Amino acid sequence: MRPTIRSLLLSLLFISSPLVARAQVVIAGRVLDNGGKALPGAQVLIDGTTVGTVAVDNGGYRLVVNSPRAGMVLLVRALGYKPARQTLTQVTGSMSQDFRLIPDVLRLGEVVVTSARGETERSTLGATIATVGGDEISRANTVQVDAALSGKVSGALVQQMSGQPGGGTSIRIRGLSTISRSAEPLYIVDGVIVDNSSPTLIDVGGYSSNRLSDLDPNEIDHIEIVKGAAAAALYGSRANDGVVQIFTKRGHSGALRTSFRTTFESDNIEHKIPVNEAPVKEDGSPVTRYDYQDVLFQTAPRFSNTLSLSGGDDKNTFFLSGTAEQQKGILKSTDYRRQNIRLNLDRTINDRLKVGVSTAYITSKANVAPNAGLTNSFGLLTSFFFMPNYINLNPDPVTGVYPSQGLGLANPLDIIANWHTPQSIDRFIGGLNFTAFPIAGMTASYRFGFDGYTENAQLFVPRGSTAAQFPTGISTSSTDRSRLVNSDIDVSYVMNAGVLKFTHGVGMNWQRQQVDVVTASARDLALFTQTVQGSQPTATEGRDERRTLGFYGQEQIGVSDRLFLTGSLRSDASSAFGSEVRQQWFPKVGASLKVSDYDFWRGSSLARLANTLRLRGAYGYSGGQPAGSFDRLSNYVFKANGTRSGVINSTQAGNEQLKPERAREYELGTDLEVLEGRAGIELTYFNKKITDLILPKSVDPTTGFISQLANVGVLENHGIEGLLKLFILRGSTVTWNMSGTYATNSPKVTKVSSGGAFFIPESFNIIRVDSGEAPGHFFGTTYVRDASGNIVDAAGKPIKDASGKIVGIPAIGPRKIIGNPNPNAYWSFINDVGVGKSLSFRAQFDGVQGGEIFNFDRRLLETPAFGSGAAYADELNGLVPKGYFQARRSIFEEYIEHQTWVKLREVAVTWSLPEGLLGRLGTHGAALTLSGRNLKTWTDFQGWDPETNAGAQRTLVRGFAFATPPIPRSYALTFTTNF
Amino acid sequence: MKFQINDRRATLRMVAAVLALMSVSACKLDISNPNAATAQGVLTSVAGIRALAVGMQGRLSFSMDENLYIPAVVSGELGTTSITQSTQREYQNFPTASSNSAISETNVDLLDIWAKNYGTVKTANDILDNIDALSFAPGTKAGLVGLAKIYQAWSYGFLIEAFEKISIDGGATFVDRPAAFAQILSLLASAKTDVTGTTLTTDFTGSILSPNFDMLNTIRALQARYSLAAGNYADALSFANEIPAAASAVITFGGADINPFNNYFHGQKFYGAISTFRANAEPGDTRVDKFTKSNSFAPLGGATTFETNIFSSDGDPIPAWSQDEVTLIRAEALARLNRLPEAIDQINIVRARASLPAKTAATLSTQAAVLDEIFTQRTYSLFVTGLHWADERRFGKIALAKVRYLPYPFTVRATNPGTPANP
Repeated sequence: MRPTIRSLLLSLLFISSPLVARAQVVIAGRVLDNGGKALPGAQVLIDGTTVGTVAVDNGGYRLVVNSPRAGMVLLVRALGYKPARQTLTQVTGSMSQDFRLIPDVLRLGEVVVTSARGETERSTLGATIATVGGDEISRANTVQVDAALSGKVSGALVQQMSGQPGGGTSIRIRGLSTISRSAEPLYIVDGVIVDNSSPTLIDVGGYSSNRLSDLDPNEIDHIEIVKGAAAAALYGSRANDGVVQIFTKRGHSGALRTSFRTTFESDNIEHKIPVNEAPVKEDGSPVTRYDYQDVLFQTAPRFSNTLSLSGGDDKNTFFLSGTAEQQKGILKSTDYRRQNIRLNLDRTINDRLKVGVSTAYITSKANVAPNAGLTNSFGLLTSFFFMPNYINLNPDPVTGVYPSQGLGLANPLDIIANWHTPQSIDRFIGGLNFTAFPIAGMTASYRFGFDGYTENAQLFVPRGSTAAQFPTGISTSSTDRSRLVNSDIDVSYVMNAGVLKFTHGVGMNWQRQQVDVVTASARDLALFTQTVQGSQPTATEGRDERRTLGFYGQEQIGVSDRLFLTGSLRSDASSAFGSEVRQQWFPKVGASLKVSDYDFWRGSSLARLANTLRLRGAYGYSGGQPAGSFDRLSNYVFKANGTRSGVINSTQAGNEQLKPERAREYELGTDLEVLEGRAGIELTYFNKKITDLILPKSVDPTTGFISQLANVGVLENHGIEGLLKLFILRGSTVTWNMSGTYATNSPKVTKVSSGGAFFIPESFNIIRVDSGEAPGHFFGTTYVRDASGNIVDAAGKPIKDASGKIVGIPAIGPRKIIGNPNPNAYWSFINDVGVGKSLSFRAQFDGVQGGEIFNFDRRLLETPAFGSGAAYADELNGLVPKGYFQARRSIFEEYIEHQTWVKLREVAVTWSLPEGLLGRLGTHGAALTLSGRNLKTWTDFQGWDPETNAGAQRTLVRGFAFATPPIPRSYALTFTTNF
Repeated sequence: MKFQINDRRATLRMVAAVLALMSVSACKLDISNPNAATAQGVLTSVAGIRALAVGMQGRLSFSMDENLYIPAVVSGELGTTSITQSTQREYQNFPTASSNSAISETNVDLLDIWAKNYGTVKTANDILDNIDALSFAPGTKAGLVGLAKIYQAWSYGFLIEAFEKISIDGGATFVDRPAAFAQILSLLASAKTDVTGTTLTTDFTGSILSPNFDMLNTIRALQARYSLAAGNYADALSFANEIPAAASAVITFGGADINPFNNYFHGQKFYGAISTFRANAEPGDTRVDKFTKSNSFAPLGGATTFETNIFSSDGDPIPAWSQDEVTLIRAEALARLNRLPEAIDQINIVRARASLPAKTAATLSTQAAVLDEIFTQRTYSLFVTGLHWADERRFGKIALAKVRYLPYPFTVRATNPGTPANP
């Protein structure tokens, strides 16, 4: 029996080649760029095997090949350079081989991952995949990985939703693709599907940290962003919002490399909102006015230290890294601490088999500030907006008792001193990866991934708080336990037949997600007790589980290495789909044509104009899974009769026809390299139509049900994405690179259910979805205007006199569409300048064009009952008629402001220590960087920050300015060294 | 050679490890919902049907909110105290408006009165449609079936007194009042057969049936109530005569299942009794102080109202019907059959309960006078029982023809093409 099983298993792995005594060849040389500069870190490997090494600091490499075969190809890759190939000229002895790599301005030669393990060069693909290098991430010097991506990828809008420490960033790729689900892309770290939900365990208003914030930016090797339909084969029914694949650093054979990085940063509020300085109040009596922004905000320090070790021999390599982040928030009483440890191990078993392990442990704790938001009415900044600024908030000097804020909300100073709202995470992410090269041309791999975390959030308001809502205090504790498992097999096989090159790929992908949330709460607390103990305790629990099983097949045909055609078919079955529509199919096709590789181009003057021209196109389908794992089921829910427990049908009917939302997307584009590689242009047009949008649909209540989730809506979007890279100066002393991205989108809902337009819950009935309109537009009361467009009062008389002075009180007009939070375009502009060997400068501008923000903050600031904003002083000073602001606060159109902004996102000066000094320090390299982040914002928006949002990462509550702290302005000093 | 063998062993171990890891991920894609019961679990189990019967009774208690307040506000028994209660105020303006446009089709409570009652109908159907496939003791099954029919009939009753036409087949067709009453009476007759044909088990009466709910006499009372409404006066009289003088039935609350009216009447003070209830009462009528208090609520944009004196705790039961109602059904049936002296006798029973002097054939000399007196007695005896609006219609006390029934809820109109035109 045993031999049979063995041979069966062996044949499974296609290992059937006869055993022969093997020779050995040693290849050595250097990897340099075309200017002669060493390229340390360049990968040198035998294509299609596990055999490989990495160039050291002077670009040198030495590769020992056991069992060499004639025809083996030596392949060299370095980020930002075109790959180079060299067929082995000998199979014994030693061989010398140097490489000179040519810069790849558009990175077309870079390897990207298109199916679960199918690596392919970007130039063969019909769809765009963007890559961001680890350097670009760590240079941004952010606490969170996702915030660092801002402006680095064309077609991805990265938005930090709150200035509270601890994360809260949203990435939206190619605009909005859903209404009912999270619109965040799917994240994969080293093949492990990771959770990036933003659980609101306790509503602290306009803030919830997204779980990607747990990752350490220092561990990142590179990030690939797969937009749209191209991701279909990768993650079929989870690919509608794009896929972000993160690859962490791994060890390389050679001497132990140690690197250390330390940062000190100082954060502050970028600008304050002007406050009311009128010396009187409504009744004319004199008052002292305060600017509470001076008291609520602080200068906040941040310390970050990272130490990493890596190295190994030709069989085993490792990467070990640890980071400690510590920062205070610019809102008093807020802070964030995070520790990350990562260990990545790789073991080459033999020429044909290797195994890799990735592990990461994260622990973090954030103290955040509660800020009302859309469902609650208490909080720190909330109190700031909902009060006149002439109340002295300081505690009584004798008793220490905080005075009431006047309107029943908590005194913000009391919140700072006595409330606690910590949020903590413990998380483990682990991946196991087997890769085999069983026969020439074939790669087979298996991956197992696990991501598990426990998140706890608490709200503690002590007894005797100034909040009228909690006279006896409240203590709430909510815990979310989440586990994600994925298990994937992929096999790809390359076959050459003359000028044709076939790449076959098949694979399987299994995913399981489980989330349990338990929340306990009590009021009427015992004195000094912070845990959930007191009268009226309540507890709730919810459990969620979903499984998805996917299969795919992919075929790529290359013709003369110039034309590439790709087709794939993915099938997904998920427990969240209705049982009658469980199996879903997602086909995709793509084509890429390297026009400049044809002789007619090369030989003509065209080649001088553009040395590379590629045309590409892709068409495909992908899906978006229903938000609720059990939405398809007709549930029976608790219904008591007196003290007896019974059940009745939920008023939401189940739907065994519930399918994933389905996106049809096509894109057309070109990649152009001009001026002999000094400039690169990437241009893409995309067109997306999402049908089967899952929306609540009304059901005839006569049936005993009221609503049902069904695939009823349609959403359309299209836009262009551009990327421009310029190597302006490439001198030996001065280099100057410039790059820019630009993307547009114009999402429009073209169909909703027969029930018509509906408001998004928890949006103060302002944010609405309607057919023919932008998703999540603002709908509210308007000004009444006369025929010539003047704002008029109730009698129809213009409220401004001939001199433009306001003399009347505006009439309140009917509710209409008053704004759209979706920007029309977003862009970035980056300059990198190097001077000599030791100095480099960098500046990045990000911007958003078009779209509106609903400035609810301003409405509160000028509402007479609170009136702490500068505008309201006009009424107190008699510049506008009495009652003007009381009327204006009811006209929501007034508070719709232009969103367009430009931010000086990054500025950095780096000084690399001279070699002489390094020698004395005993290090290979060291650099000092002085950088700034979010230094300046140019915008017409009148609030703190046009980027932040009271709806946090919610899909449709966007552009809502309400008591959300702004993103801080940061200055940082960073020291990095390698030894 | 040795190296090669080790190589293969390593490979084998890898394959074994991969297979072991893959087995972790079993491929089942039907996951049961741990957060709620599903149709599959509830409708095919004995425990599920029992739980549905409890839920059905809870559902009707829950629907008493709109079933009582909407007719009471429309017919002027109750007034809303605050101008901010825009939803409820639409009902207050309704009877005086010239058309039913006073109530918008999107009024939330309009959907509630429809959906909550049809919810009870649906749960009753869940029981009736699935019980035969399950094994119950005969006395338990008879109870469950009878109870489901009573609750369904009762819910149809609330609906047909609020809307001109209703559906008795889950929305496929809409029927007018005679057909609706025929269905209600047929369900009740069938329920009567169920509960009288078999001795109900103590298991049913003790742990499923709501406490203090006399099933048989409730069937009789509802038969009498809806026979009267359908114009079958002889039937109404004979059903009413079946009910013993001491019988009663109530909708019970307890625990977290609370009577909402304590909060509405005494907590948030949403509603008060319109002042005419006290002002127009016959001197000495004990029902005035039984149902209302003498303190008035400030009229915030509405009529002057007095605090009610009913439902003053969260656990107070709501009567399913009362002896006064039964007596007055007898009186009305007799009066309409033109048996006036007997009708006056019944009126006097109720008057005596309210410490009022007896009427005579001399003081109530015509059928119209007798009916007027019955209407007055119903007004005072059946305060906030959900019957007053129907009484106003039956006794011809509504002047405006257009506002006799509610408009159909928007959601019904949007989803059901068979929805009749608004009255």
